[in-house]
This record gives sequence, C-alpha cells and structure tokens, in this order.
Amino acid sequence: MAKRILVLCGNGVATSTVACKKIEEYMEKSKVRCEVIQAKIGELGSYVDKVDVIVLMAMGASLPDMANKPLLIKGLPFLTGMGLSDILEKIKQHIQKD
Amino acid sequence: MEVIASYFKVIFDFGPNIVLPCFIFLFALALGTKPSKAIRAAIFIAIALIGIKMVVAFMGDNLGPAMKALSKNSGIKLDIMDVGWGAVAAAIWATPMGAIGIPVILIFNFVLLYFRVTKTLMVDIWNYHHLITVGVLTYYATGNVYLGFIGMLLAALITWLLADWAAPFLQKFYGLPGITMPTLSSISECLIAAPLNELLDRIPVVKDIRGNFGSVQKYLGVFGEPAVLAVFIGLGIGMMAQYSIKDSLNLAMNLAAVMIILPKVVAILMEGLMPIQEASQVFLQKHMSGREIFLGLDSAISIGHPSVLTAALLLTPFVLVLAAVLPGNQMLPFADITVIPFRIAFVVALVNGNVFRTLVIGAVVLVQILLCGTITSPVMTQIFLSVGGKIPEGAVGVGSFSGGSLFVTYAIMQTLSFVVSGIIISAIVFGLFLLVAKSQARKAVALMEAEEENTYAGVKNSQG
Repeated sequence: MAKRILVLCGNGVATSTVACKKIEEYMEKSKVRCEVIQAKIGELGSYVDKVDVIVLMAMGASLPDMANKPLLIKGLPFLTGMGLSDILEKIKQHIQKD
Repeated sequence: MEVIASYFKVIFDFGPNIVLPCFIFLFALALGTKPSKAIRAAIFIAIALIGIKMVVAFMGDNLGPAMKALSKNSGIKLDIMDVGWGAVAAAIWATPMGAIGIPVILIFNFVLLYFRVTKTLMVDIWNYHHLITVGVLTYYATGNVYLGFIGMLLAALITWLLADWAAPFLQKFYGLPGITMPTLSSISECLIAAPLNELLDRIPVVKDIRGNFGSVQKYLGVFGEPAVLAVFIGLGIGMMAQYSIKDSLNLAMNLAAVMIILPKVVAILMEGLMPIQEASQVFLQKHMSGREIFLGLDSAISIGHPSVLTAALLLTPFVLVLAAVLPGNQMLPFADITVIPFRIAFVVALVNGNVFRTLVIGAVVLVQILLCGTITSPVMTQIFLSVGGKIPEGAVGVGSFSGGSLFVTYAIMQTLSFVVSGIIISAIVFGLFLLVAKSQARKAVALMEAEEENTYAGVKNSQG
C-alpha cells in the first residue's frame, strides 16, 4: 500500500497546494509511490493514525497524540525555499522504510 | 484615459477565461519559466476560473431560493450571498487590472525596499489578489483607472507598513525569525484590534481576564470540519425558511458539497499561479539579498495555534446569529465562515494568546466585516457580473469576508471615491490605530518576554 502524506494548512488551499505539488514532483522524479492528501487544520482529527507523514504548513499547532507516530515536518521551507531539498529527502527516506 | 479605457475594452471582449491565461503564459515566460510549464499553468488558470464559476453558480441555485424563503417566512432579510474569498479572488484576477497588478506590485515592492520605505519583501504572490482587489474595487466605484491604480498601490503600501509594524510580535509569538505576513485579510484587522486592546488594557478587572476555554476544542471541534458545519448551516437555513424536511436535507447536502468542492477548485488557481510564484520569489530574493528584510509569507502559516482555532470555533456560531440580528447587515455568511481563523490570527499574537480578548476583539471585527461587506457589495456585484458571474434569483448581490469587507480595502475605496461617511470612519480608525500602534507592539513583545521569564523560573524551581 502506498504511504500517505498529509499536508495541513490554514485553509487547505494556497500554501498546502505549493507543498503538495512539490512533494508529488519530487516523489515522481525519485520513482517513489505515495499518496499526498491536502486538508485544512481543523480536519486533522479525521486523519489521526491514518497517515505516515504530516507536513504542517501552520506553525504553532498542537497535535493530538498519534499511536502510529507519523513523521512530523514543519513546512516553512516549502515557502522560503531554504532547506527544501533536505526535508524532501527526509520524507522520501521515511516512506521508503519497510 | 480614453485610450486606456478602449484598450481595457478590447481585452475584455475575449473574456476572462482567455485573457488571464494568456497573460500568465507570457508573464511566466518573461520570468524564465519553461514553455511547457507555462502553458500548463495558463490552462490551469482557465480551468480554475471556469470551475469556480460552476461551483458558485450551483451555490446560487441552492442558496438563492433559500434566501428568498428565509426572508418571506422568517423575516430575516439576508440577500447578499457570501460567495467566499476564492470566488472574489477569481473575479479579481479575471479583470484586466488583475493580470497587470502582479508586475506592478512586484516592481512597487522593489522600489519601496530600495528606498528603505519598508522592510517587507512580499514573495507571497498569491495574496497579491487582496491588494489588486482594492484597485479593482476603486476603479469600479470611481470609473477612473488612475484612481484604481492609486488604490492598489496605497493598499500595498499600507499592508507592508503594517507588516513591518507587526513583524516583531508575530515573529516572537509564532517563532518565525526573519518573517512577516503581509496578508491583507489578516493584517487589516490589526487596525481595529490595536485600539481595542489598548482599551481592554485600561479597564480594571477586565484587563486581567484570560478565560479558560480548554474544552472548546473537544465539544465544538465539529465546527472545524467544514462539511459538517455546512450541513448544520443548511439545515438551520432550511428550518428557518420553513422548507420541508426533504428540501432542508437536500439544501444541507448541496451546501456541504459547495463547502468542500469550492476550496478544491480555488486550489487549482493556486496551482496555475505556482510557476509565477516560484519565479518571482527567486527573482525577488536574488535581487534583494544582503539587505535586512522580512520575508513576507502567507498568513496561513499562523493558523495552527490552539488559541486561534479555539476562538474561531466560538466565533463561528456567533457570526451566524450576528448576521441575523445586526442592524444594517444584509450578508448571509456561508462560504467564508471557514476563514474566521485568518481574520483573528494576528489578534491572537497581539494579545499573546488570550482567548477572552481574542473573542471580544474578534466579535467587533466580525461586526465590521459584515457591515463593510454589505456596504461594498454593490460594487463587488458589478465586478462579479462583468466577469461572467450570475446573481441567483432571491439575492441582490454577492459579498464575502474578503474584498471590500476588509477594513483597509473599505477605507481606501471609500476615501478615493469621496464617500464622506467612509472618509470620517477611516480617519477615526486610522487615527486611533496610529495613536496606540507603537505602544501596543511593544507591549505585546514585552508580555511574551515576561511569560518566557516566568516559564524559565518555573522550570528552575521545579528542578531545584
């Protein structure tokens, strides 16, 4: 089953679209299969324990306890470009595991 | 003037679904985007414009008759349909000024940075639409293209100066060094928030209230889920409009569909603009390196804070009741009910996470949004119609929590079209803001520093 990456932002429209597209492009180039889900922060509850990576475009959010311990990524580099390749690589390595 | 007007008309005749994509294609090429990528971006822009129009038309088909029945059967006369910020942004991008606005604002930001008027470098091209909206609204209100451009640049200037002002407390509160958020839809409300907070600082007893709202997330969390929220709103409207159970349920489901599908089509617009956003960002950052700047990002990055979400959950049912009882309001909040967090995100930082104060200030902000939205709706409606939108039967116009509902937008547009009431209100609000701005920003930072100190002392005590 393809690993699932959840991208959360304030409205599920602008900043999360940027992150989603960049993740999809990178994974496609690296030939890694995954499913990228775009949602707004209030919808997080519906995805608890159902995703492997959470990319948070909203800073300062408090996340509930998640039993499956997803990889948490702060998404700021998607907007500033600084350190972007590092976090994309980190996501890739996480979803390639097992 | 005549020449410019006729030029606008010729462009207009092709229709926005053609004009904006062509412009985006050329602009992307000029910024060095590969042709294949530029073509794709252009087509996606057109798809988004068409998609948004489809969803808004569907919304109108359902909400229009309901508004009519609501007015007839319960006496609640809310006949301005809240089409949401996305539909407003799409309508604005679709006007000729929308396309021209991107390079104009880009260059203006460059010039102001060069002369050190501002430190804010707005790489968030996406939210240029808020600034361009001011220009287009002014143009439609006055019929004068030059005033339109003056309005647009004035909006940009005010937004960046506010972003400079807010940078210290935003950076500290959200832990984002070097960053500010020149997003008009969030920063505009600081004009109202700062004087109000100063007032709250001075009232005995009230000034010490923080409020405990810890359980709100648990019990009201459902209001954070747009689909469920839309069903509730649909059922509520249906009931008050004395619809049958069957019709109420269908209205509720149709509105839920709109609530979920609309942001998805707006996201397509973002996808189309991405090459422009990326290329402009590289361009701006390359030419401005080595200077002390604040990187201006989308305020969406501040929406995660628990105090923002808690206050928004409480303000959501409040605004629905408010809309029904507020004298002078004609707007029926719907599509933009989910953007309340954006309107209060900076308020939360200003009051250092105090939910009680956020609620008080947020309530006033929402009153302002509904009233300004109602006042500016006729002009917004005119723009909406000019780009091929339709007003459903039962409604008199369109509005949103964005566009003319934002105080800065309202103030510039009313002032440039010489509406006396608007000029007086704007002068008072701007005056009060300027009076307290410096001390409020300083107090906000001091409050956070004091809290850090306490936490540090607490940690030391528990260790000792």
